[in-house]
Amino acid sequence: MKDLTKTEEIILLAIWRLKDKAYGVKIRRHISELTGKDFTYGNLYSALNQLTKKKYVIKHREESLPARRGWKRMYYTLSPFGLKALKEAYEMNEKMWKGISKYAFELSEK
Amino acid sequence: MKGFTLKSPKLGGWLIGIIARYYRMSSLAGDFLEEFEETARDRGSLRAWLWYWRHLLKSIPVFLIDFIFWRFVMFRNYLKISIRNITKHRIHSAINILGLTVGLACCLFILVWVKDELSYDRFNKNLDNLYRVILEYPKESQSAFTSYAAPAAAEWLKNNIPEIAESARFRIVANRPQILVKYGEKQYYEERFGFGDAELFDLFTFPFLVGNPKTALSNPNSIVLSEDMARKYFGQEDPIGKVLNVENQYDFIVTGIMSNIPHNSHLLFDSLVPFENIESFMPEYGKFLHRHNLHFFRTYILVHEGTSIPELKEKVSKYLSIKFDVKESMWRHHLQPVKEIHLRTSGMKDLMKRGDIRYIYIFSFTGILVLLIACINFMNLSTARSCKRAKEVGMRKVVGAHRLNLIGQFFGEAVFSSLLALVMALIIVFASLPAFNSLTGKQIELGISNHKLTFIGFLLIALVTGLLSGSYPALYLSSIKPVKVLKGAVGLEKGKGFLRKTMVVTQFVIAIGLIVCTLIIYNQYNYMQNINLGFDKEHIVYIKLNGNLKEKYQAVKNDLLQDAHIVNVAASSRILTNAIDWGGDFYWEGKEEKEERLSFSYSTVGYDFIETFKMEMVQGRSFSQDIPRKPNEEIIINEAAARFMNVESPVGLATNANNVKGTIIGVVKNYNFQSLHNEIRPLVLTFDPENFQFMHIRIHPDNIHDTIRHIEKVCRTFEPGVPFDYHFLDEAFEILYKSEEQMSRLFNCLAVFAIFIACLGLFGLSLFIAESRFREIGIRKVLGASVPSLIELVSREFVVLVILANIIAWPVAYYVMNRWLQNFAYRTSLSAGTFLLSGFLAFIVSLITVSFQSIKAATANPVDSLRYE
Repeated sequence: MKDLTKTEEIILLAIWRLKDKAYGVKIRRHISELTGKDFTYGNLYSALNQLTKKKYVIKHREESLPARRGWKRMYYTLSPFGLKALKEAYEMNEKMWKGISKYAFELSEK
Repeated sequence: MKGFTLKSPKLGGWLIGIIARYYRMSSLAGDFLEEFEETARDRGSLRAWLWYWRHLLKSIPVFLIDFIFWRFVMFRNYLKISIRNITKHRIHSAINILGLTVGLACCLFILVWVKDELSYDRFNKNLDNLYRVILEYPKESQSAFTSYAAPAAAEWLKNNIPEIAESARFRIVANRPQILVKYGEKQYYEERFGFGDAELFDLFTFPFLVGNPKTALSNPNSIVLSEDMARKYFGQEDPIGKVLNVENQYDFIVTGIMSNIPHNSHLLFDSLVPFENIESFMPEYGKFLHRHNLHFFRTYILVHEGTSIPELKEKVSKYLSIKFDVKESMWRHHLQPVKEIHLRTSGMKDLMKRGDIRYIYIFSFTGILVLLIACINFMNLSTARSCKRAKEVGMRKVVGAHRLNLIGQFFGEAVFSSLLALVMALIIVFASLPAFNSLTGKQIELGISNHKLTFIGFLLIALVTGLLSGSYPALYLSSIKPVKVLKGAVGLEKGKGFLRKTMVVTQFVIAIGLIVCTLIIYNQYNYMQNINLGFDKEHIVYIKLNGNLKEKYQAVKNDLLQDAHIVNVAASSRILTNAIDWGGDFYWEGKEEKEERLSFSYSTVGYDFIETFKMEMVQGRSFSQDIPRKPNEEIIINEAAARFMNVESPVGLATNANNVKGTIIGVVKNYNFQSLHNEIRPLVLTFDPENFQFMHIRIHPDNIHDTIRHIEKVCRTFEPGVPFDYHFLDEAFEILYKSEEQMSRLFNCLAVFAIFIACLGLFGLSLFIAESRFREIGIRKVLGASVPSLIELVSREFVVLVILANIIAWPVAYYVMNRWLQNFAYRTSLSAGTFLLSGFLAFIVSLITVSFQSIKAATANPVDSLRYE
């Protein structure tokens, strides 16, 4: 299995965290808050499209709301496969950062 | 939230809709909306609007890059490889693309030409219900057709056949005899001066710019002009109500202006006057306006929608037998759909120059052949180079390319080349369109807007070319086994050479065939120019007889003959390119009327006609001034007529020619009074000064300039009101065979291009062979082979192929050209020399092409070829 890109990793994490509230608006805002940068729908959906194609993410349920003028609200959830990938990414991160505290950076800066 | 009415931007919504649909993620658009409205509610509509657009503009590039990336990730690789291949093997690619370009350009020109030929008369709204009435008449035991119908046919058919909605007659004052039109100071000769019934405007789509088509011709002295003609005479003035003087005799009032008739109409005229004027303009026809048994006028009918055409044709063909109360008339009228007139009138008597459906077939076929040569080049060179590409194929296969991918790749490369060639071909086409127009005598313009279909056709041709030329390399290269390739086992296999040779032979068969055809067409054209017509057409000037020139013809003639350089002067009704006044009955003593109707051609000539044209009398004498007679009292017949009559001595026989009684006074030796497509038919020469239209002046070949000045002076003294206009008879004959000349020139071009492309291919192949045998040649040279023997080694193969191609091409060309020549009553013979010459030409050109490479290879220093090991 190919390693996830950073964007993919962030999106998967967001969907997982948002649980049954994971739809477009919420995911985007969540990521924007988390990263502190404005995450656009273009970034979100082009990545989401690949993730659904690769079966990491499943379209889980949809909702019709009057305010959305016929465009449905789609909820996403992780597939077991996606969850596994996320877990691997976590382990990878953990391995990579093992034994490093943020003071180490301050030390290097000096 | 209440009272919230802000709408999201419309344009943005539409854009997002497109993206959402492409990704099949409708939630995307919903998310945008939801967040937009939330922002609007919390932070105001301005901010929401800004937010919306900022996000949209930032997202679009992401989506675009995503789209392009995934679509073209493979394509990019193919494109890169094919561009690399093109730039790496420059000569090879140049040959390929140049060949395709030339082939495509030929093909595009032919497409444009064919399209123009097929477009004739299509602008008429009633086209499907328009018919021309034509006449079948007996001619030497079989029947022939003429495009002219009986003068009274239009009226009779309309009154007696309910299916016919409208009918109209038309007559132009032929091609040559011009009509003098005057307005104030401006006066010109008009060639397209028509006489017609007002119903013509109901039948054909000739829209009026000014005036009412229904009433424009209701007055006998009204005239309708084309836009161009109105501008020529009136400039910026308002033409309506102005008076035009015609032939210094008649005045016509302009009542309508129609837009110019498109050049692709079979019916062409610049001005139209009511039909009854024929009586005064052409008295020789006017006398017979209500006859049923002659044929002078083009007659058109419009039938009701949904008419059963076979039944209608049946009724029309009964017209003459009903009228003359006979059971089965040999003369029958038929209907010809107007849409077929331009292309399917060959073999019918018709004064206008028409196209010919056979030329459409011939040229389309030739165009395809030339393109085929170019395709073969591409195939040949690609397969010849296959061993160089084989490694790439093997590599691709090893990393997992399917055979289909590879086929796609090579097709793609071929299509890429052909599209590149198309672009260059289009540049050539646009640049040389004026030259093409002058070559074919057409007025084609290629605007993108009104030729959409043509351009789609161009693109299709290019795609088909690409697919065709890519087919063999694609299938062959994709079948290569990777193991073999990577081991280095694929080289120039012996078996593959056979296919390549076959293709080379095919190319040369086509090229040689085209050269043979070109030479034969040229021969025939030359033959027609130089054949003995039965009279001397050189040094004859002809002048239209206008006003006083005709009234005082005898005095004019006497004055002209004062000049020692003027040999002789004779008047006649027609010019000898087509000297028939009409066809009609002819009876003589011993041949009873009503027994069988025979069509003789009639022509009116004046005194000294035979002498001026240096014709010979076989029996009797010609018309003589010393024995003055009443018009038509004496007639002369030609040998063909005498043979037809089958009487021992025709001179002195009493005759009845078109209901005019007379006596035969002489028999003239046969001469060609029509184009050489027609055989010499029975002809009756009558004498009637009323019918004189032209004066033929035989001048001495010396000092032509001064002689013409003298003629001009005489004409001006007699008729000062008319511009002096003269023509040479031999030039009129050149115009007569213009279509043969054009065809010969077109074929010439095609043949040159064909041989050019074929030689390009040969050049490429020999280059390749020399390259791949580079080392072999080096070794042979080291071992003592001489330069000539090495040249022979490389060239021999091709020379044999070209000779083989000759042997195949000759019989095919012989068969085709023999059939073409059957069109002519007088034709050149097919000589072996023509075939040998074209074979020799192809041989020499190909030998030069090949030896260029072989000499280079043979004279190279063997050190160069052998050192890198």
